[in-house]
Amino acid sequence: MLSRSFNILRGKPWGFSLVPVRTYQVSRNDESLKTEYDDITNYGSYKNTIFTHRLPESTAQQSPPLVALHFRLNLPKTYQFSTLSQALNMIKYEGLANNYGLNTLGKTLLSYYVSEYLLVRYPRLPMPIHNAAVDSLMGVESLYELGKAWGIQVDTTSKLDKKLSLESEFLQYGRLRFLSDQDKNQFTEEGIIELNLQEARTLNPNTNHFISREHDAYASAVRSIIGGLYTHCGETVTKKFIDDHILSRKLLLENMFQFSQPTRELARLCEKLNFKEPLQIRLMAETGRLSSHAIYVAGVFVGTEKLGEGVGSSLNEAKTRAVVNSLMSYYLYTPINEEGNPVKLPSDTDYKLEGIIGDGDVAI
Amino acid sequence: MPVKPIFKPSLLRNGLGTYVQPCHKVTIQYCNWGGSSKSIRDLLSTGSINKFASENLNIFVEVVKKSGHPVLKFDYSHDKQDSVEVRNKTTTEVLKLLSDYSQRSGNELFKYNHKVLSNNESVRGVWSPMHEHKGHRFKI
Repeated sequence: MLSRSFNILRGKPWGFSLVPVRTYQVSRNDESLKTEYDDITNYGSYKNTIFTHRLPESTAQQSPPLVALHFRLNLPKTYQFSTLSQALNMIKYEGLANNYGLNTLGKTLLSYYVSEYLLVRYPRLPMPIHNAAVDSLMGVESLYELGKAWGIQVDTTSKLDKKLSLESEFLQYGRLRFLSDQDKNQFTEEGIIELNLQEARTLNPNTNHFISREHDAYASAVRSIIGGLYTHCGETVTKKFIDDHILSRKLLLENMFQFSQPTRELARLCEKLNFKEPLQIRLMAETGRLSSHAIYVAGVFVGTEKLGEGVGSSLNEAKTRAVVNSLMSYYLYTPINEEGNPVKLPSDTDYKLEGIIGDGDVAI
Repeated sequence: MPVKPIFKPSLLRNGLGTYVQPCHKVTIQYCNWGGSSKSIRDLLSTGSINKFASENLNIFVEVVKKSGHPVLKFDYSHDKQDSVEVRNKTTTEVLKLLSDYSQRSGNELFKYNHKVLSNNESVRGVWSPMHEHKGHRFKI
């Protein structure tokens, strides 16, 4: 209707034109929630009447994969099996409570503990590297890998298949449920990936990387399990769990830096730190200058203090390596306390600031 | 932007913070008639399989009745699988295989001909002739 009236206004009788049509985003109720209200403008009376229930604990206890997962993760006895099963359910429409709330809770807890750890342990990390490190610890890909390592399986059989193969109904409660019956029956060709709308939105055209629904589901299950742990067992247990499973991973921080102008950056940094003496890069040792395999060792000095050194097969390489090494030793500094242990985090008991607070990034 | 990030995923170090057993499912497939499955039938009737399952609560044990030689199938994390055929094996041999394979990581066994296999850099670093005292350096 709208586009036709545009055409008439512009005097084009042939019905189709490439004039952009202005459209508006209209908010609509999610019909699946079956919202009811007395009056459309009376927001207090809005009520979702969709029927959802939690899985009875007695049913959840009879699911062997669920019980095995509970024991494999060494979860406390107070952690209910039904909550664990809910953490693995992403399906909204089939009457069982899903993991939406647990996921949000788990995500919030994770991001608090991960960023606290990084900010206190690596106070001088530049902002972009800090963000990449957070992503490296609790991004979708890492949590997907963690979920796989925990042995979580996807529920891939449709209702009809379950009926035909006489599969026990309890098995599905211990599996990750995010596929609808339609998706499960879909024929897939090997080597061809069809993206749905949600996946297409995450596609990076430069790297062809996207977050698949499966990866997202695994990540959300892991987050929800953490959220469930908080609801049943409290904060201390959750913190320990995150420490054990997430913060114990090896972070490859020293491989995450890409410097565009390291020498300039180091000079700016020294300026910012108010060093009295000038920055000098000196040749410390060399061998085989006239041979085909020369080796040079360069050092970065401020007065008599050596900030870093580097070995290279040309003078320039040695110099750049020395500069990058001294930048890294500044950025990757970790404070320790008087006993030589890592400093306490704000969420620890008897916390007092022992480390330092970063001075922020330098601008080139 | 002075410094750009290169994304590197963090590495899982199972056993450092906590240990999650990689084997999460054992399928015991046997035949109710064939002679090669006799030991498995004995294990089932004497309750040894029940005992194994109750001792390993972190493993989902499934018993499948299917004609043919008996097989033990093991599912490990990261979708790795392994299976052993146990035809005509004695009960003790089967129980040993069960406990051995359920404790494995699921990775293929390989021979590593170096001293250390590690994700971490050497603490001491590589010895460098350039850092010797000037008097002792080898001169070319």
